[in-house]
Amino acid sequence: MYLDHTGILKMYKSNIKLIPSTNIDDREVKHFSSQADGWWDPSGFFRPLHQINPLRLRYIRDQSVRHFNIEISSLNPLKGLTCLDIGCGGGLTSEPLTRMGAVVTAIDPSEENIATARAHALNSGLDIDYRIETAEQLTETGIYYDLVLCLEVVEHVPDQSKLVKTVAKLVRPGGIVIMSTINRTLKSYALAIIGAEYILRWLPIGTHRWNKFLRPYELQTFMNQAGLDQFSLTGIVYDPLQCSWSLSGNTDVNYMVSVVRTDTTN
Amino acid sequence: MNNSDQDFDILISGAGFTGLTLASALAFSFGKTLKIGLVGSNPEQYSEKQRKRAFAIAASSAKMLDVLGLWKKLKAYTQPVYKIEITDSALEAGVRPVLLTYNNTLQNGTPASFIVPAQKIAESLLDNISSLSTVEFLPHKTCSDLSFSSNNVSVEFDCGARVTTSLLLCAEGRDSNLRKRAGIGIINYNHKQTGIVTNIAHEEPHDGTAIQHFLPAGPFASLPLPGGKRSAITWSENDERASLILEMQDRDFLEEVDKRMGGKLGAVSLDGPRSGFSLKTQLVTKFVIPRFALVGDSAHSVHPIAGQGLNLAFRDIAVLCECISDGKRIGLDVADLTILKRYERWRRFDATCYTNGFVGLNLLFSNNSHLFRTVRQIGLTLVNKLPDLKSSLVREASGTNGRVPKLMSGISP
Repeated sequence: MYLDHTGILKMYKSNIKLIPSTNIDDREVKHFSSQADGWWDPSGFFRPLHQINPLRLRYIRDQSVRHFNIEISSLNPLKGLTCLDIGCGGGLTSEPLTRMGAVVTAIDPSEENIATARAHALNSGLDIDYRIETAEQLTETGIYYDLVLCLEVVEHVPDQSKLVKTVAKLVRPGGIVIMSTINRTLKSYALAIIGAEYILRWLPIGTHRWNKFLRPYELQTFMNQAGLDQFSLTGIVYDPLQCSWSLSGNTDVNYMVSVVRTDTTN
Repeated sequence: MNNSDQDFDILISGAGFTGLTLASALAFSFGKTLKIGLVGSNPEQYSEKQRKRAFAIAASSAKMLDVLGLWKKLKAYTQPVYKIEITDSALEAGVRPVLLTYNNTLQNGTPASFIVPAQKIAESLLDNISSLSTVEFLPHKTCSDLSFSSNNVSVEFDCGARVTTSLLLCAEGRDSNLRKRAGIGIINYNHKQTGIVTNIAHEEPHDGTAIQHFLPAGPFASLPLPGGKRSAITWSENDERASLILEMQDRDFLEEVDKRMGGKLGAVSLDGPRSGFSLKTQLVTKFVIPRFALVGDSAHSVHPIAGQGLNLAFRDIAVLCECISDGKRIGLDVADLTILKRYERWRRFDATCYTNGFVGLNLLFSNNSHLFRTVRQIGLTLVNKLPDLKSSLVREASGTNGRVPKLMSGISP
């Protein structure tokens, strides 16, 4: 099965400020903003995201540890790595990455999301550089990172190829990018749209647009065009009997990829 | 670590055997990264009766105590159980023929269980706790109320003081008050039996043999204590009969014990006070809610028929430490609900099997029906003839079957 954290199609807050950008979808940003208070409620609106988080974190840690050749037994294996979390929401991934030792910059176009994330990090005693910013704006600074995360974002932007190119500019040569999204298959239509929205009601009807889902080879093509290489792919599956998620070779619905920036020029 | 005005990362309510072991295991596993509080009266404040008890410690529990650095000292005071004998007869039968004998050792020759005086376990745990700088022990306080917020749990002590903790662990035992406060329900089964506990001295050496006499009113077990000629008695009777027995003069009480022993270990004499407790089997509907988890008897209370109560609590502890450890390794907060849910998934199945299994076992044996006795005798004779089944039962009771948590396999999580 799949999950996502897109907002409910309910009343939009009228006072949401949006920063100008060419590659974000205003409607999507408003969805997230309207749910910003609920990010850290494990049994609330973002519950599926809380459930899947350990799995994503383990994948990110294991990929980083392997790529950067780090000793895994330590409690903060990502120590010293600079990390960018694109579309960080309430900071569900940014906080654990910080605890694992990474120096995290986290961006989101929604002011509400960043406010929630900042307040929570303060409470947790964690130092995270949260910014109301888009990936495109960040490229103008010329800063780049060892590790760039772009989780459940690509299926929500108008120009997917452009997003991948932007992401590629933010990772240092030799650094890695990890993305997660949903496959565009008959199964993902059955499970992610019909199952999760219409039958299980995990997500409100209309949350996802199936035609925005990407097949792994399509994402790989975008990535290769952007100079990201050495594609590694893993599926994420839900076991309804165990009520738990696990990594799998099956990429029919949810999947994660990690790629290395192989070129040496900036 | 959480924010600076947080009093504790983990607060444990209940400083009995489970609470003390839990604090030791957490401090061992996480050292300075977690600030632990331990609240409640400890076994030193228990009555003489309670301290005179003995526990059956399974091999896997002993392994965990070894990892925690406690077993080496404790071992000298334990009695390994090398053999288990089971009899099944009417109370008046006189001589009780042995129906089934177990060799209670694992394939590598180590005993599958040990009998350990409660007093010794308590001393060793308290000693350890006082040496741990990360555990703050509040032995004269009780948690009386709690309120949950999105960042922490605020706990009020009976003296009115308040502390906050990121995660609250309840190890208060079977009749936990905090569990009620947290709104977690229980499913229970009243055996209408009372457990009678005492110690005896006997003429013949026990040779490390534990004996279980299945009698119509309930099981009667004699567990070998260190020294060779003393045993701990754990014995179930229906409630009315038990209250009569508990009121008896020593001489009459001894006669009742003797009658049940069937002359097995020669002449017996009393060697400690007697006490009684009502037997209830209960299981909670949930092990965890956000920022709160139940450990040990507060989550599952089993019939003492197989001496597994403390061992199940130890297994909870080992599993919880492993779930927290795995969570911390991916940067999760110690109270992350996914950590707690994993603990619940891992433990609930096991605890459900045990609680129901022991109820069934007790019902099967605690009666005088010829039909049941025939069924039991066929069953036990079969078990006796099938060495593989027997050794698998020994492995199960030793806690080395199934998915064993790291602390119980002798490694730190």
